[in-house]
Amino acid sequence: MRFDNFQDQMKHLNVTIEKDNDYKQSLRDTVSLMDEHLQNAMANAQRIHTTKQEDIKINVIEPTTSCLKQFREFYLSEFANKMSDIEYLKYQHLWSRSIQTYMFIQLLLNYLQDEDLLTHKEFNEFTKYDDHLYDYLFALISLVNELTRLTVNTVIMNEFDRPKRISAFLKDVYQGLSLLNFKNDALRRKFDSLKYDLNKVEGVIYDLTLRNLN
Amino acid sequence: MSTRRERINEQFEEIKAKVDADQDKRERLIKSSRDITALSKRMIFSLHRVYKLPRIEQFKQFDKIRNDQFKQIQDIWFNRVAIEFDYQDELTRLNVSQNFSKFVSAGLEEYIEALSFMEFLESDMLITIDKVQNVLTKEGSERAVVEVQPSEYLGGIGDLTGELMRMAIQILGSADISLIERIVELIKSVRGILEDNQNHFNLQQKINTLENSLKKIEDTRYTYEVRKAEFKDNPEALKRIVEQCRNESG
Repeated sequence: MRFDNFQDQMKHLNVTIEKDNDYKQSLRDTVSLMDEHLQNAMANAQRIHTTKQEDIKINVIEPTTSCLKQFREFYLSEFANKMSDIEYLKYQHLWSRSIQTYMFIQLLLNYLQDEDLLTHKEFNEFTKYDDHLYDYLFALISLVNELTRLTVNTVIMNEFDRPKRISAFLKDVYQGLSLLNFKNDALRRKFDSLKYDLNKVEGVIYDLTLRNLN
Repeated sequence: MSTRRERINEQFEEIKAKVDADQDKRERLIKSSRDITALSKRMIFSLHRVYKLPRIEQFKQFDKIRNDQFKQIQDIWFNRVAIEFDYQDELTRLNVSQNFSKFVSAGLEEYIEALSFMEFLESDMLITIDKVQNVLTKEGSERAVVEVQPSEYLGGIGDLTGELMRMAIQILGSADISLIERIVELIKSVRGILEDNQNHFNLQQKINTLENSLKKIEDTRYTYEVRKAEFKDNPEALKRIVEQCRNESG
């Protein structure tokens, strides 16, 4: 578009910004609707800290999975499949936090089920543009935080066989993360704090070993 | 069947390559941005030396700045920066530019300041965002090296007002008063633009600085008029005093 008059061009710029802002706001509203599913999933997932091993599947995994499924459907129909690729890329930062949380819960469920790690590639609904990789890394860090808390709580539930297994898994994950060269950014700070988590888990195992509880 | 640890390591080796490449790209862009900032600042200094020269000298100097300092900056944009966003695949290109153009944002703002100052000195106009976009588009290319964001444009022309203030004070007493009035008019129209966009961006800081610039010009003009009346019979003394008050406010 060409303008001979500067004022016209400024007005045009203003209209463009306003339109873009309105659109972003409508996307934000949609994101908060979508996040309700995540909050439900999170509330269900939080029960891992008080649920005995044998009840996890029915009381935690199944209800959480169904919330996540709703989230996933919402996400696909409102964002991934609805938007053009260009539009998606332009605005994805608006829902990247939600994706982080989704990935985190999914990673947690997968651990509870298989004691294994979901890879970034397995989240193929998000990796269309090889993106959300950093969201995956943030989700992994949340996973380590959460499992550290779980270690303490398994002892409270007298399930003394679990801390060792969690610890082995966390060590595998941590050593994988250690391969990456983080620079001084948010991810680096989070990664650096993981050593306290690992220490804490070690402490639990030490306490149990000392008392012949495992 | 590989162990869990082996499988996990395998995935992280892959991620590592990507993370390292991203970080290298980021660092190269930050470096380019810093160089653009430094060169733009230097160009602004050079421009401040030009308008005090006689008319004919001015054209020569503008040419020199264009072909030398400005070209150096353009080279950074078209070579070092452009290469970071050069992808055949449109989606990859978009993705990279979404994630990485923010690292040259600071340089771009300073660049817009220098460019808009040059535009004003040469054509007496406030540069438009489209024009900035055009200058950042290599000949024969269909798109600019980076897409200029409204916030960067507004930041750049906001900072321009500081340079205009310095110029107004410098030329006071030696140039036509209409040029100073033109500068004041331009600063006010930038204020209008910034105020119109207040809701969308945080521009309060820039608007405050701009207000201060306007006040500085007014105060200097006031002092000048008082002294002019006082020393109207002694042009030599007036000249000295004007020089002094320039140095104090500039």
